[in-house]
Amino acid sequence: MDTYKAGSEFSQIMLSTDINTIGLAGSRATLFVPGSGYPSIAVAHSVDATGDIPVSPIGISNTLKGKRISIMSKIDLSIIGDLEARQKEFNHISVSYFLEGGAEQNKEFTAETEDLTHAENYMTALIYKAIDII
Amino acid sequence: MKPAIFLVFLAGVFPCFLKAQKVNSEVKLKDLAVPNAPSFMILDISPSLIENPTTPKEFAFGALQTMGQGEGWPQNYAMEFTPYWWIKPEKRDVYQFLGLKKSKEPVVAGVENVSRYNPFSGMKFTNISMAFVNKDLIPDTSSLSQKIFSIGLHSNILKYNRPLYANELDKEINNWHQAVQAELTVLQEELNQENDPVKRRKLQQQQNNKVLPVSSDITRKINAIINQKPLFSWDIAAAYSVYGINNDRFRTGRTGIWTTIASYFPFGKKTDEGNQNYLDLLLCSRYIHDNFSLSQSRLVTSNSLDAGGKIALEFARINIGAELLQRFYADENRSSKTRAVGTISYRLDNNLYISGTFGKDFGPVNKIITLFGLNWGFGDEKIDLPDEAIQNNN
Repeated sequence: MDTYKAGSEFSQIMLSTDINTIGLAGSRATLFVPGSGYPSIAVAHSVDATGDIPVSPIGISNTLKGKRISIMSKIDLSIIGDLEARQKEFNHISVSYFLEGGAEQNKEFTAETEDLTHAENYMTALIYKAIDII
Repeated sequence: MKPAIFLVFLAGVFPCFLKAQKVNSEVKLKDLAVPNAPSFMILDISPSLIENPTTPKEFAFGALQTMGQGEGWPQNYAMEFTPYWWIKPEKRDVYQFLGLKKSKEPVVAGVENVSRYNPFSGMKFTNISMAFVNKDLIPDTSSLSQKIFSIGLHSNILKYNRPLYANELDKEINNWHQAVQAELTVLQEELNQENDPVKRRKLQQQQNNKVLPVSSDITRKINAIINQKPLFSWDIAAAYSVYGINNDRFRTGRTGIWTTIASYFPFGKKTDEGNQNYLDLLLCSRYIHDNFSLSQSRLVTSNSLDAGGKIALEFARINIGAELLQRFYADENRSSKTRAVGTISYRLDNNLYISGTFGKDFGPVNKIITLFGLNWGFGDEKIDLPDEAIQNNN
């Protein structure tokens, strides 16, 4: 599990994401306490079909400790062409997540293979990234 | 025409192709087709000499035959690729891919953000093709085939879509984005509540295969808009070929450059899949420099210019057209030649076409060509089989 040190200072933690794909993409970020059973709170989302989340405040550092931020993206590859092309594009997808404002300053995370899943026909892909704030 | 008739015909045609290509028994259907690429067109081995410039081709790779036994030269081998699909530039996004330019002005309440289509966006899909064939392209007394290599490129220089294309597309993309935000609310919460990473990944995989009707419907609309043919399109292509005269001597054969201007006028009712019926008007010009041309029983260097056009009616599955090309020679002693053919193609499946060409081809005598081909297209495009009749007659 990826982690980010928020620190104890009273500072705003910022999140942004950068998705590199030619498919239609949409993203959403939520905060929650893992295992609590409480519903998560939406803190940021993409503003267009690039799927990128612009730099967005997600909370004050000392209030985020112990929480998890999850960023989920859906990518539609159906506009790209046949199965071969969609498969190729799926393999080209890359995502970077940036957290800043905490004790670790700017930290970049990337979507790993285990974060990406795809439909059997490669029409859609889902990316789920979870980062624990410590 | 009913699909069954074509399938019966197909069954009769298939064995011929299999025999001609000497491919292994595991050949896929699409491997039977040859890309309608400049490197093949320069050698006149494509059913239609006029390309149908619609959407840019995606990566296509055709290997018809393997290396010739002991010859160190592929028998008939075609390769076509679009570098865009190979490189992985940073900052790619769907708007750039579709050629949409977003307005830099902020969205004002009640005023739609204006999007524009970049008419040059097709250039990024420029494709490169190469072909190795063994064919007798030198019209001398010898009937020996030459080892021929050709290379070509094809690019869409300019494309204008109908008015409001960009805004309609952008609007549907925005609708999709909003719908997905709502879908993610549910999907993400399911994953957030699952603490076990293994179970979470399994759940995420299952979510992928869920059909979510709202975004799926919008995606269909987006695809329908994208697949609309442009009002105006300008393509260029160029190709260069060398002939292996013997094992150690290669000479430039044909070099050509050609251009096609096309207009597609929709007619009839617009369905959920967009316009299905078009009147196609295409103008084509092709310049060819041939170092091995036959004139008055002598091999000469010739420069020729083909000019002509094609008119076709496209319905949902059937395309019927007529093509007329006139070939003019720089050598005043050579008279011009005409190619007048009718073409018909039928879409058997989303990407599978059967096509036919009938009529009079270029040549010293009035050659009648009748041929059928099986075409495998990527996206909504067509690529064509080699024209055995033309190969043999050249």
